[in-house]
Formats: sequence, structure tokens, C-alpha cells
Amino acid sequence: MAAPLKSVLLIAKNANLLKNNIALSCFARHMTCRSKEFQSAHTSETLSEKDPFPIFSDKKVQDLLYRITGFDLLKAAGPQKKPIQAPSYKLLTDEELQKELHDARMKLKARLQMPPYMNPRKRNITPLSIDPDLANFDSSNYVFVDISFGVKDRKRNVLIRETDGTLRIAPWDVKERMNQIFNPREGRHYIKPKIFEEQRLEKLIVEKRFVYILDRACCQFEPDDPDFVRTTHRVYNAINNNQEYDILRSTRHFGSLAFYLAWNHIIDNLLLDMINRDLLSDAVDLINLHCIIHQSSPCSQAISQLESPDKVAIIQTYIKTEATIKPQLELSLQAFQDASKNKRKTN
Amino acid sequence: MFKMATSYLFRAVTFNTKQAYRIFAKEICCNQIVSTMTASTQGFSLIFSRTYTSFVKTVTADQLWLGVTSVSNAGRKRGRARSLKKRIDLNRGQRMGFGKTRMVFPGLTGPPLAGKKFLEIHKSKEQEEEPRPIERPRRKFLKVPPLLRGYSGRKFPGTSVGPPDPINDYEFTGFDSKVLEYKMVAHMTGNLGRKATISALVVTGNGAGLAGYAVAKAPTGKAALRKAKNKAAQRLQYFERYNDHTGKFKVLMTLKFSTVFHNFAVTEGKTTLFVQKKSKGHGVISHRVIKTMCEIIGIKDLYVKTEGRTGNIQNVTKAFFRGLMEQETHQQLADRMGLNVVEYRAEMENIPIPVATPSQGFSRPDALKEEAFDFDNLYYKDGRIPLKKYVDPNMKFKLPSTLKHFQLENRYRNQREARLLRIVHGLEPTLEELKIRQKPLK
Amino acid sequence: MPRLISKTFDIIKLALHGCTNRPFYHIVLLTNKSPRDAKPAEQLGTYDPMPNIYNEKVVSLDVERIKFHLANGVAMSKPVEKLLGLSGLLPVHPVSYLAAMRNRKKLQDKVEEQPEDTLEKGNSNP
Repeated sequence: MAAPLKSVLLIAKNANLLKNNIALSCFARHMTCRSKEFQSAHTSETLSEKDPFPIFSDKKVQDLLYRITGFDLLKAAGPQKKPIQAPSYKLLTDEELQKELHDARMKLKARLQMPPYMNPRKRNITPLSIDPDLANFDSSNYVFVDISFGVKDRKRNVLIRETDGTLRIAPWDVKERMNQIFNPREGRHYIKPKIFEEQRLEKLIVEKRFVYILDRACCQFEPDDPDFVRTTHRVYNAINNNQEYDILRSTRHFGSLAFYLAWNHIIDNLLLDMINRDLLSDAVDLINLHCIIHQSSPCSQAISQLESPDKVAIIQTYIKTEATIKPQLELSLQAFQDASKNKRKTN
Repeated sequence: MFKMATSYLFRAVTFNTKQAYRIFAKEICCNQIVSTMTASTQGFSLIFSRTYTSFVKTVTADQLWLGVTSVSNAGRKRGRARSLKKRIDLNRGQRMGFGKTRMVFPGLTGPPLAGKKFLEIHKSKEQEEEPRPIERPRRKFLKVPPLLRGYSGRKFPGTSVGPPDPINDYEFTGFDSKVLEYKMVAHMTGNLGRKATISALVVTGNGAGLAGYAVAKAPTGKAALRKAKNKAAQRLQYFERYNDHTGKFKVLMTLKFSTVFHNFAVTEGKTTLFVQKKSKGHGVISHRVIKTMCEIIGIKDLYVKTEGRTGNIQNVTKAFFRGLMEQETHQQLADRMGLNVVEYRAEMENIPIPVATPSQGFSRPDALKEEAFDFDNLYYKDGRIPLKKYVDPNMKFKLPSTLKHFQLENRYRNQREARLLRIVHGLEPTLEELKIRQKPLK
Repeated sequence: MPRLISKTFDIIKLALHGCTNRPFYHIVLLTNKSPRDAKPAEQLGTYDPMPNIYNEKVVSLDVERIKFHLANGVAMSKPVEKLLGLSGLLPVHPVSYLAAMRNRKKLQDKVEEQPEDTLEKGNSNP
């Protein structure tokens, strides 16, 4: 047995062979294999379940969601925890003040970028190589991380050689742990923080610390992490049940919330809230979003057949076709119309 | 009783061994009646003549107390008896013969005869009662909680004397008064000679901008305090504070700070105060008297450096009140300059927050030059600004001693947090595990 | 006796770092004559031989640079060869197979011993 072993070693050490890329082909194959699977992850999902990400990332939908979110400069800046620092003062003319305010708005608007709405990812189980001869080579698994210069976290190759000799692509949790070791991110913990456990989450939700949970989730998880999806959906549901939408307005989470509600056909409460707050254009945007997501729904077809699609007409068609809390919606719409009529009269 | 005790002791020593005496002495010690026993020791000096003990045992308790507390007649006249300690009754709450061991001493704590028999010393067969708590002398004064005590000891300055008395059905609700100064002053009269009166400086206010102070004198302290308090209530002033309850911006209101409008310096006599505006969470850091005044006025964040005669409380008070009154509000500044006053706060992401706009509705057209405006030093007079010494942030790297300290500390900089995290996730070894780990390997 | 071959060449090997009772290796590029923990020409990865709480031994590899150096004919030490073999970058090192075989044999021996024990126990217990 010694002779063939030696020859293998010789081959491995032979520079010429290496230059011809024969010995490396093994790893190279893994690489290509890996990237193909990464790309095909979405396609395979679309077959089984509808993928929301393409719709969410569509420019039209994004614009719509930004509009719904609204923008309150002071709320977006928000009192934040920072070391004590004395304030500074300036004396500005009106023009200068407007310019400063404009700059601040531009700066803070970038903060409202929404976390992507995605389906939870699935694990790739296909092994890269099965080697029964290598079984029990060690008592623990080996994790190999590619730390080549310029490799991005999501595209990083992380392989795992299990104790039974199989080499496979590391599951997502291992991959993220490795990323945190070799490319740490601020605010992300190596071990999943306990606040994402069900009980503690419940406590925070009762305290209405929605933005805190969502921000922590954005920090800790990738957007297609099953834990991220679970946590955010939990919070969105709690907000929808308690109708606390205003807490999320002019934060980066409002768009995702609206998209989640539209995706799951439960926009009625949000619509009611918008009409009650006289945000009629937002209400129309929300119905449009619903129509874009569910193109074959009766509402979208009815709206496309409208001759004069003004705001009230669109909302009324929605109430007629799909709303579950019709009387309340109709009442508040009627109240809004009466109020606007009165205003016109007084003017 | 002492007679009985002595007679018994004679018996014990003559008839019995030393043991009996020891037991009795022990019982006595348990009851803490040694001092009274000393009174009775004279009777049997024979016993003690062999053992050269302390003189304490050879004199009576009364004599001992006299030795400690007596003052000669001449001394009493000169006032030496003023701080004399009173005699303490050490036997208070004690009962003879009821110690922990419950021994019965016939003739002393029990009947001497049972039928016709003399009883020996024995342990009581009665069921043990619960030991009665020993009565302690009560506190002379009620204990004052630490936060309600004054600056020092049981003295008046810094303590609260309650709201001012109502004037014509007007009750000062929400008001509180605090003593800043309380001292004895004296003057000479032809008839009485040196006549002392009490002078008190009291500040009163409602914690929402309304406050006043006054000095009053009276022959008694209580009267002086009452007088000063009520006088202060008649001299109330209203101080505008930055971001008080009439705050213009809802978000700034949520920050819950309350401070002055700008830095300033005031001088009163030889006392100078340098007052600095501070941000939320700083707290009031200043002379204790100024701290008390800030509580009464309702200022939460401030730094004051006091220079010159800092012990002159009346001048410090006057200076602080005058300084607060002479402030320029942001609105006044905006009107004077014809420009918007814009604030930048770190906790608000340094966005421009216009805190005051000119009341004419629009600003003047020409902009202010950057160098011309230094808000921090805008309000110091005569062109003199306080010296701020440069503190080198890299000092820890420069001296060998500080560098060494930094290096030693730096090693442990993350350990506390890491340990806490491990405890949270249950990765820290338990105490039992640690004990096992400490054992040597076999 | 002086070494017969005194040629200097580059080699990828493990440099021991860490502290008492806590080994940690850097995968480094060095000349064959330099000391183990000398300042390397290049660090190509790390190897943590102590399993973490998930029972994993973590190896990081700068694959791009390792490929470059191997293509230039740089030598490797045996542990590095084993690691690269397990990672799939190179064919699995024969020593790994040998170790695996021995471990399996040991385990099998244990299993063979155990059933007898359990049988005996099983007989004696009831």
C-alpha cells in the first residue's frame, strides 16, 4: 500500500501538475458547484412557493413603500444613546437653514432603506464528496473557511468535513458563525442573543418595544434567515393586532410591515388606520401594492376596469371586493368625505 | 438583696469549693451586673485580698460614676458640666438569676429550704422560657433618612423646612424650602451685653422656575427659619429655563433636560461663579448650595465653578440668582441678531433644530461670518473668557507609569462583558465545577 | 554531522501561537531554515486544534494565495498537507486514511469487547 500512497503525495507535490490545475480541480469543482447551487436556490423555491423578493425589490413597489413610510425628520433622528456632549449653536439666515435642513433630510433618508422581505432560506444537503474510508479520522468536525481577499460574506465558501468523512457545504448557521469570527460585524453576536427566544420576545412585544426588536433582528440576522423571518413576522402580527402602526412610521420597518400585510391579505386594519389619520393617498398606495402582489385578485381586476380611478373610487372598489371589515371602512371613509366637504364650505 | 448575696457567697466559699463561686460569678456576668456587684464586694475583702485585682472591684458603683462624671463647683460655674455624660443604668431590663444557664441559687433566686433540707445550687427544672429581649434605651431623636439630612451632621443647612405658610387662603402647593445658611450672630447692648440671635438664609421654590430667597434673624432658630421662609415666599422670581414645560419641540421635551440658556459668569463681592450649560444626563455639578438652589428652581443639568470667597453663602446665592435673571433667552438672541438660532445635538444625529426664529417672521438677508459667532464664549463680559486647560487625551501613553497602568488594564478590558455573556448563555462553569477544576490532576 | 542538503526553499507550515494549555496555529509561508515562530513572509490561514462548543475545529485558508504558492512549487509540511487534503483543496492525505483506519479498528475492538460485557451483565442481572 505504501507505493501508491507515495505516488499520490508526489503528485500533490508536483509543481507542474499543479500548474496544469489537475489537483486543484477538486476544489474548483466544489466552487462552481457551490455557486450554481446558490443561484439556483431561488429558482427551486419559486417552484414550490412564490418568492416575494423580486416583487419587493421592484422599483415601482419600492417607491410605493417609501411613500407610505413617510418621513419625519425629528423622529428619524430620534433621541439616541450617545456619550454626553454639549450641544452647539449657529445663527443662520432662512436660506441657510433651509439648506441645512435639506442636507439633514438627505442624510437621514438613506437610513430608511428597508430590510429585504424574503422567504426563509433552505439548507443545501447534497454532499460534495462521500469518503467512507475517511470515517472516524477525528472525533470532531473540521470547518474550512475561505478567507481570500475581497470575498464577500454571502459568497464566502465554508465547507465542513464531517467525522464520517463526508465533505459538504456548511449549513447557514455555521457559515454565519464563521463570518462573525473572520469578518465581525458590530452589533452581531457569535451566539444568538436570548431576546429572540419566544418568551423574551413576548415580553418585549407586550412592552411595545417593536422598533428595538426589529433593529436588533436586522443587526443579528441575514434577511433570509428563518429566525429573522420568524421574529419580524411575529412583531408585524402583534402590531397589526394592536393597530400600533404609528410607532413604525418614518422608520425603515414600515415598508416591510406593509408588504407583509399585503402579501398575506390582511391590509384592512392598516387601511382603516390610514383613513382615520386622513392619509388617503397612502391608503390608495397600499391598495395598489395589494393589486401588484395579487394581480389575479378580484380587487385588482375591478380597479383596472375603473374609468376614473380617483382616490375614493379605488378605496371603494377595494371595500366592495375584498375588505373583511366593510362597515367600519365605509364609515370612516364617509366621515373623511364629510369632513373634507365641510372644509371646502368653510373655505 | 446584696446582703443575701454576700451571705451566700460566704457560705459558698467556706463550705464548698471555688467552683460554686465560679458558677455564681458566671451567672452574674451573664446578667451584666458586675458594676452593682462591685458595691457589695467591700463586705468580703478577705477573699479578694489574695488576688490583686483592679481597683474597679474595690469601690462602689456610685463612687465609680462620681469619679467619671463629677465636676467641681468652680468648674460647674465655668460651664464644664455642660457636656457631662449622664449616668447609665446598666441593669436596665435585667433580672437576677435569669441567665442563659438558668441556675437556681437557693436563698437568692429561689427558696432556700425544701422541707427541712438546705438546697444545693442546681439547674432549674422549669421549662425554658423564651429569652426576653433586653430593653435598650430608646433613641433620643428619630433617625433621618440620608437623603433628607443636611450637608453635615444634625445641622440645618441643606435640610428642608417645608412649604411657606399660606397667605390669605393662597397655599403654596408644590413648594419646598431649604435652609442654605444657619448661624448665630451677636451684637452688644448696653443693658444685656453680648446678645445672640439666629440668622437663617432660606430658599423656597416650586421646582418649575419659581424661586426666592431671604435672610431673617430671630432670637430662636425656629422663628428665624419660619421668618426667612415666609419672607422668601414674598420675594419670588420666575426664571426661564431651557427646555422647561413650555418647550417648543416635542422631541426635545422627550429628552427631559432642563438647563440654562448659555454659559455665563457673575461676580458678587469677592465671589465669582462660572456657570456652564450642560446636556442631558450630566446632572448638577457645583457648590452644594448651588446644587440645592437648582433643586428648588428646577434645573437638572449644570456645571458651576465657584471662585473667590466660596464660603460666603449669601453672596453665592445672590450671584446665582442674579446670573440666572440676567440670561438672554434664545428668542431674545434671535430677535437681537435677526437670525434663526439653530441647535445641533449629538443625540439627535446633529440635525439642525431651529430653537428660535426672529419674531418679525423672517431673518435678515446677510449671513453671519463663521468666526464672528462663538456661542460658548458669547456672554462673558469685558472680552475675558475662562481659561480652559488643555488635557492631553494621549497622556496614558506618555508617562511610563500611566503607560504601564494602561497596559495592565487593557488586558482585562473585555473580560467583564465576556464573562457576563458567558453567564447569560450558560457557558460559564458553575461554582461546583470550578471546585472540581481546582483539584490537582491524578 | 552537518546536513547534506543545505538548500533553502519556501515552505507552508504551522506556526504555534496561543498560550499555555491553549494551542493555536497560524498557517504561514516561511523558508525551511527559519525558526518555527519566525516572522512569516505571509500568513495564509489559521488552525484552531481545540474543538469549539459545537465540536468543530476551525481552519481558515487564504485559498487564492495558497493556490498561487502551490503553483510556484512551494513545499508543504505534513500537517498542512493533511489539512488541505481534508479541505478538498488537495487529494486526501494518505496519513489521514491511515489514522481513520486505526480509529475505526479501535472502535470496533471496543464494540466487540462491549457486547460480551453487556451479555455477561445481561446474564447475571436477571
